[in-house]
Amino acid sequence: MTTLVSQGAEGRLFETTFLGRPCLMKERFKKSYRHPVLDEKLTNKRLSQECRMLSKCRSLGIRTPTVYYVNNKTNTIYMEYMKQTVVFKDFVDEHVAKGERRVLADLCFNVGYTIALLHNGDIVHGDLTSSNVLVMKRIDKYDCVLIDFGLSTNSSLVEDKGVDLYVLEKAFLSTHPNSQDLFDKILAGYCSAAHSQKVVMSKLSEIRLRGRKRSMVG
Amino acid sequence: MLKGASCYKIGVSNFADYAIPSVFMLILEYGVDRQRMTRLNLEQHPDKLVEYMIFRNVRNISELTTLLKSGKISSVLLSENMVVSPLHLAVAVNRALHHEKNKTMKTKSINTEIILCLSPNNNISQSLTRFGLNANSYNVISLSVADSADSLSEKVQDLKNKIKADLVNDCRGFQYDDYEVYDVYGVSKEELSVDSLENSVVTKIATKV
Ligand SMILES: Nc1ncnc2c1ncn2[C@@H]1O[C@H](COP(=O)(O)OP(=O)(O)OP(=O)(O)O)[C@@H](O)[C@H]1O
Ligand SMILES: [Mg+2]
Repeated sequence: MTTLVSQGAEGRLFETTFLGRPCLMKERFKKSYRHPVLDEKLTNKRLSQECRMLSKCRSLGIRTPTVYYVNNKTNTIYMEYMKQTVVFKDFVDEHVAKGERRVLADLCFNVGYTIALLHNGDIVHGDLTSSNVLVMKRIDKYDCVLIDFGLSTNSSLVEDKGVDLYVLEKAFLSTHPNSQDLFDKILAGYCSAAHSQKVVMSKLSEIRLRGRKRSMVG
Repeated sequence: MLKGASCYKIGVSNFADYAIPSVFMLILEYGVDRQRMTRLNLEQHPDKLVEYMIFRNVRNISELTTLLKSGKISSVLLSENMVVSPLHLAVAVNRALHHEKNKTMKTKSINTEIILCLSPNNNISQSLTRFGLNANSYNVISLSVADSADSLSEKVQDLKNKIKADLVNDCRGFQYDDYEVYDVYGVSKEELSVDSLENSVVTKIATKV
């Protein structure tokens, strides 16, 4: 049994099972307006990049969905459907509404810490938003799961890490207005673990002033 | 005639892995030779029948190795010490079947392709020595893949006839060598702190290029 979960511009998500386990099929499709050969290559590249990063992040101690099967003919990843999680965005909305900022502050610190692990491993996510982080309840705390690595790259550049944080800041503050304090917690968590926190922070301030533009040139 | 037994693991979370045998099958299995086999239902390859068995304290390893070399065994035989769980098997078989279907197999047969797919890299001879039978093997997992029920039961019966093993009563899952598994798959302690060994190993083999 396979059912459609969501349909976007670049892909579809289906729910199915793998050896009886809940499984999410993430299919990327081709964009009709792009050149077919180029498009095939791009779609394939994003698929393989996503797979590599899902696995590499685990080695760095970041929880990501388990991958069961990669179908490179249909550009589909079959992964663990983590139904016990809540999207970070929804979690924030819900807890802000209930006035539970203490829980949020801890979680945000944890999200920042997790991004530091990612950057310490010289991976930049490329699309850090509060929709691409899942929140998983553990016994005494909340852990975060990173997803959606289609735009991730290997990079040790301070510039790239700064842009990663800048993108998150923009997305976070526009989705969750009046939450500068929470974003500060994310940065605090980041600085608690990132090897190059000082330079990345000053890069972030620099990017805030000029916008992310420059990175688009290269 | 074999007196071997198999073990199979039932964990609450893994319960759905197993096709529950019919009463008739149970009588047949226990009545005839007590061999328990377990079906792996691969949703992405519904046309294939996949079954595994566990044989412990196998006494005729060298004979089996010879039979394998001369192509007289049509199932996969693995050393139990490198296999973490039924899911581990399923992910490898599923990947191998994908290669077969798309004509992208790196080896000559589906059985060797399965062994290669279990491996963390693409070195065929290394995967055969690590995961296949060797002189030091004593517990063996068999995997049979077939297109029809008849062909499957033929393969299974053939294994039961050829493998000389002990009857084992406990069914507490696969007896794998965890340090060997960490080493071969390069599992870091960081990753074990966030998820199970099973999920780590499975992700590695499913995403390898
Ligand atoms: N493994 C998973 N378990 C539970 N929910 C998931 C999982 N993967 C994705 N989701 C949910 O589906 C949504 C979309 O998934 P994802 O971000 O991977 O796709 P996408 O945004 O369409 O991808 P892309 O940006 O690469 O086109 C997520 O925001 C999350 O709500
Ligand atoms: Mg997304």
